[in-house]
Amino acid sequence: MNRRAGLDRIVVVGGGITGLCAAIAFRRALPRTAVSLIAPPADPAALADRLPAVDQRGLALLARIGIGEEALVAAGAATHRVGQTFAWGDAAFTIGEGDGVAMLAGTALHQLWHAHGDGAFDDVVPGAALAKAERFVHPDDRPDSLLSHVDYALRLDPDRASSWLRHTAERAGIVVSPAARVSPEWRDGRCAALVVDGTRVEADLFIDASGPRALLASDRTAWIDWSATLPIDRLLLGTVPSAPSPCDRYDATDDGWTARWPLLDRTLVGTAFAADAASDARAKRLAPARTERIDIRPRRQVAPFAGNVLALGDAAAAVGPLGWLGLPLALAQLDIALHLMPARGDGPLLASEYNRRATLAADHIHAYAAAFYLAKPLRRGAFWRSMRDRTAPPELASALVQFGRRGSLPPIEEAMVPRGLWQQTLIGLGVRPQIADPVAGSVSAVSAVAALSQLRRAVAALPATLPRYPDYLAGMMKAVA
Amino acid sequence: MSGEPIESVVIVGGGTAGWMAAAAAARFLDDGRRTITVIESEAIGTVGVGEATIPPIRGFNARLGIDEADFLRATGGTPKLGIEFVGWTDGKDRYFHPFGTHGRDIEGLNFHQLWLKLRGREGIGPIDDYAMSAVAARHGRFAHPSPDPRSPLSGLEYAYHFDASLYAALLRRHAETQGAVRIEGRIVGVERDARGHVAAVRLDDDRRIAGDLFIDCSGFRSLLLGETMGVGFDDWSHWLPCDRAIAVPTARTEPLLPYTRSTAHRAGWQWRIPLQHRTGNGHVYASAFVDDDEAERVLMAHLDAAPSGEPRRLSFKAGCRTRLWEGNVVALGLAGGFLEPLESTSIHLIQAGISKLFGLFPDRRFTDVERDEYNRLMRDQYAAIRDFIILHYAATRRDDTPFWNHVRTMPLPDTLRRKIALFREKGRIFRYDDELFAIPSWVAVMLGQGIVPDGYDPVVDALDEDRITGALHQMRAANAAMAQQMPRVG
Repeated sequence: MNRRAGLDRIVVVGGGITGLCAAIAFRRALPRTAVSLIAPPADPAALADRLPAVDQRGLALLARIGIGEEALVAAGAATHRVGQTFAWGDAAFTIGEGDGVAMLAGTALHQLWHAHGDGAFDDVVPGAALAKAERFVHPDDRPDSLLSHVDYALRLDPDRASSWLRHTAERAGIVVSPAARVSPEWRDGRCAALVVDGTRVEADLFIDASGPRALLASDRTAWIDWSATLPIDRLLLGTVPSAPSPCDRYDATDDGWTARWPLLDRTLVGTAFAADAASDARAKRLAPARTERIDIRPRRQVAPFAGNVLALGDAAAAVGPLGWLGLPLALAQLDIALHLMPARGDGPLLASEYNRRATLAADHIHAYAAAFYLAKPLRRGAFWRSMRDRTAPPELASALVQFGRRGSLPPIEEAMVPRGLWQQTLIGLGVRPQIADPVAGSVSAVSAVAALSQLRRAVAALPATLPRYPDYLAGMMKAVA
Repeated sequence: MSGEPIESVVIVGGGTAGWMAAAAAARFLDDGRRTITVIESEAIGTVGVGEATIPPIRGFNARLGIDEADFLRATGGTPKLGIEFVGWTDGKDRYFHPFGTHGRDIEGLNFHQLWLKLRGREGIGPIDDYAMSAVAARHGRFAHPSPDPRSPLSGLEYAYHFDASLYAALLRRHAETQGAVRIEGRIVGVERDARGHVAAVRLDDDRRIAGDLFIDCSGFRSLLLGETMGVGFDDWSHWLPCDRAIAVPTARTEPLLPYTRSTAHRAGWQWRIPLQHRTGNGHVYASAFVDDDEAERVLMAHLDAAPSGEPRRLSFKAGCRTRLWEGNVVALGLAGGFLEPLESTSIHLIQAGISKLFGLFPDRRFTDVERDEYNRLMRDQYAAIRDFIILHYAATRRDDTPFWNHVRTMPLPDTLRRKIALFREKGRIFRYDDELFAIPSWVAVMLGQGIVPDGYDPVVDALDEDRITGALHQMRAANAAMAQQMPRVG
């Protein structure tokens, strides 16, 4: 007999992508457990569900619970993102997903580039070159191939992906029921039951994926406010018709930024600003004619696993729209929960270990997102000027200090953003090390310059050998169908 | 203060730490201007810590361009697949801490969770049977790991036993070939500048050696970091009471065993490290619980061959300096701290100190940015290894001597207490960032020491039991068959 008896009944609250993924994951992991999903009206500010990306860790998790990339692509519910362009200051820069070419001539590429390189850093990042040329193919694993240094994320189409996931959930035996009102009954630090449209529902574990409203939070739920470090609190979201592209684009404005996020048959267009620096009317000048206004409140729960309630997605941490970081964080936290797998009669040790790891991941994502505002604020506009005297979160402050000194980043537990992506971002934002790396300095200038120019030429030549992304995507959809 | 690059690195003390630092600095920090100087005195002996190592040493050698065959020849080295612990749990038991992994994870579940569920069943056997390194060690066999994930050899890992003084000599040749300069002399004085940094050291023949960065490899004396800079010592002997060792070599025995053996005694433990030309033996003990002569008698009574040299006595104290880098002085090896060689971590701590120093290499301003980060990372390393070593003592069931009663009942560091509790309750392993020993190591020692969890991950019940039983049978058989095909050591 296993002393760690599995849970009998799990109830997930939230019908968005986060809730559906959580329900499917627990259902697959514990086939003898009854899993049901209660879908209250969607929270418009649930950005993990509305601007959903899946990074490599998330893809691995989804594959493990039977949700394959091919199926999502075939359903028209996913496109690939190989890089993101930021017109953020004097010169635009592009970051490629993943770590890129980490080492060259026996030393870290970015250090070698800093010591001996010329030109832009993104010229030696294969993923960035693909993004700029709007090309993409899947990476390969031949060590001599530049495509082995390319990575990607999936962008999900929020509507198509959630309806596809809903079918998948129902096929897996998960009962999905809409509800008008959901409220928790807290007793002695545990949720005794949910009252769903007047009916009491009990469970061993409740998952709160209801978005930033956090319907299952109690009056004792404590929050950490992120509004000083993630200053965007308004997003105007609209749609324009377009062809698919593997590159997202962000343009800094005086009041914040605008973004273009291409999906299969349309592009989501976002205008992000801070309400205290710009009026809605002023922000609207940069937005399409019809937009929806979303109010954002960046924050996270101090302890997202409390008693028998596990908060996921925006209910646990709201990281804002930039980079579509909400769903990667939600999936990483789901991954940790599955790994630790709560059981009946667990003591506080397991919850505290979950909270330790899950909040490390949240704080890391928060630090990465905050870098775009605080690392090197622009010189124009009241929004950006007000960033200058703000204090960076500790994880970002130490990254800026360490990277600003000698271009290295401190080791991080529960890292959410690949080291290479951090480096590309900080370099793109204009952070430069003061001290040359001694190991890069010990490579002779002649061989360093030769290695760098060879890499730059190879990276530049790569996109032309690849198909256009719309053709590649259409081929993939057809092949799977 | 100028942000000029460091032009001169002075390493105080040769020995394993000094020559590891010198060889790495000469290889990786040479920008054509920087000088690397080692001050060493033939009059001062070296302790020669750590004749056994853990797998990261292979990466260190590879980065220095040291060929494995040359290295084994030059140092009398042999392969090491892990450590056999004898008598640590109840006095009569044995278990093996293998390098590498146990079995294969299935569907994202750690292997030991599967084993925990099935362990009583027929044909499952002890968890050691699933570690290729343990099975090979038991048969006295060795082969290199395979990159093919389907091969049982993909789960094998290894390190070396070697003669530390011969290793230092090999590294010295490498360092000197790459331009490091050795100066013979004894240090009689230290000059400090207005900032309190070490400006120069004076030798017994009145020579003055100036430098920008000083690496203190002076051993237990901690001449620069401890004596000169006044950095205090964090005493951990209340957790690790062993404070003495007696070492003695014996003639090589046949067959050569590809692992270290650690045998628990009444107030400490004895190492057995097989080299090509001799076997290293030593008794590590707590002087509060046994006197030196009795300790020597115990050692001599437990040798498996005739002694080939005189016993040598050492004293030490477990702990580490509160800061490993102060001003312009970085301490490596015994000058920075000491943890008993139970898990062969001494040389690794030197290696970690070198690689973190190069990663955080300062300029002549010596700001706190590098220093604080280095100190944080290195203190974490020491504390994590400390906890892993304490586990071996704390998890004992022995109550036959005052020493074992003391270590069995002493209060533990919080970090370790939580780890043991979570494993006992859930079979879970906390693993913190940058921790040296990975999950299989903690599992091997926890289970080996008799900490068996109450239950297992409920997700295991979702997997088809016949299927996982079949998979375990297959893994166990594949390891056994592979061991038969592997060549014997030596």
